[in-house]
Amino acid sequence: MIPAKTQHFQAERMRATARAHAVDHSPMLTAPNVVVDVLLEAIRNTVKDA
Amino acid sequence: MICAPLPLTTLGDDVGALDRLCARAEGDIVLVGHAYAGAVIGAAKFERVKLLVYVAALAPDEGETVADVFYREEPHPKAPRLAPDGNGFIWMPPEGFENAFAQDAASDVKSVLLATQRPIHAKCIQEKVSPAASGKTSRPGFSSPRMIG
Repeated sequence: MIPAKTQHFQAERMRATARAHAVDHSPMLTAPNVVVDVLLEAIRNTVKDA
Repeated sequence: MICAPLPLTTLGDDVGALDRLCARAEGDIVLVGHAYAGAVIGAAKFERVKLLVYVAALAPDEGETVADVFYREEPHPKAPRLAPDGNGFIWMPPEGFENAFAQDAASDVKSVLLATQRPIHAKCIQEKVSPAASGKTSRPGFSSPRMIG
């Protein structure tokens, strides 16, 4: 749904940490383990006492 | 963990619903947005929000609309043509779920997605993100771009 080029453009301009995976537009349904891993990594690196 | 009940009527309405939900939460808050909801988490103003996670999401900057970033590149050939109905709401057609929204999902999952979808009003994607509302500068962002689909 959202071109990868657009997603990388957005990530770069907000200086985000990006993680790219070969998934469809709804990875929380079709690749939930990938999404959970990305979330846990982001939370551990950002939120104190996580 | 809780799913924010976004009305999907205007971007401002959705941000308001998210801020009201944040007010009910205790401690540090992590907001996760998928697709259009990336614009909503980016505009949330709640102080205790510590992290934004964009999952295959849109992240319009200040002064941009969701449509500006969604249509920034040529759509994928299999992406559905989306247009508002007579009431201004955009519905995903069946082939959208089949080819572009969740093409890797089992057929029963696609059927549930089609049957339980909530339409989004065109105002949600046409409303400009207000100044200082985008997630770009004030908070760490974290994005998980998908690579296909």
